[in-house]
Amino acid sequence: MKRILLTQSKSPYSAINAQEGLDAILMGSAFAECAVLFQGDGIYQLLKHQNPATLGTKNFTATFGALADYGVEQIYCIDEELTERQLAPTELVIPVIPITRSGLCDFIREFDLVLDF
Amino acid sequence: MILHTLNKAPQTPAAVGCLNALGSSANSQDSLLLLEDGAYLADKANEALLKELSIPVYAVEADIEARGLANRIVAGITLVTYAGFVELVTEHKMTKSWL
Repeated sequence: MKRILLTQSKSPYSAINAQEGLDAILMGSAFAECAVLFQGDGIYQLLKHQNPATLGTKNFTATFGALADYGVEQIYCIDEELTERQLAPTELVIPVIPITRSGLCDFIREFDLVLDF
Repeated sequence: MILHTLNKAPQTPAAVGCLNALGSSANSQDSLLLLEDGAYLADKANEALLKELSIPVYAVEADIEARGLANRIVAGITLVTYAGFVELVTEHKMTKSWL
């Protein structure tokens, strides 16, 4: 089975990337082994207590809680980026596995394909 | 083995993230391709940023020309046509777009 890495790089309400990426993860999980890397401001997608109702937007990030049901259990982030944003793992809606910034390229090399959102 | 592409200007989160990651984790088989606003990274004003990288750097010639950067680019950057862009994609095992 192909191993696909999907990367989420955008904050949740800045662009359509985050929602499109989530759709791709859910679809991809049907035919490939998918892992997700939240990088840069993408990690803000996982912050708890989001309430975009005032923006007239649905809180699509609630769906991240269901990723395990889709068989997507490898969720990664970059350790230094959590620290830079003063984010504790307990403030995120799902558990993430931290990788180091210096290990990023080697990490990417373990996959067959990378899709960036 | 990884072709990294950057289409955002040097001070954006995408570019900063890209440079941070490549500076610390890229190896000699990786390459960086600058396109669209990523072309500004090829400008001589950003030579110090590029010096941190030890991988081949390419830039799409049309994007360099369009932005008036042809006389300002850092030595050592290889300009490519769109066909050359496609060739780079096929030469690398995968492409990582820094968005």
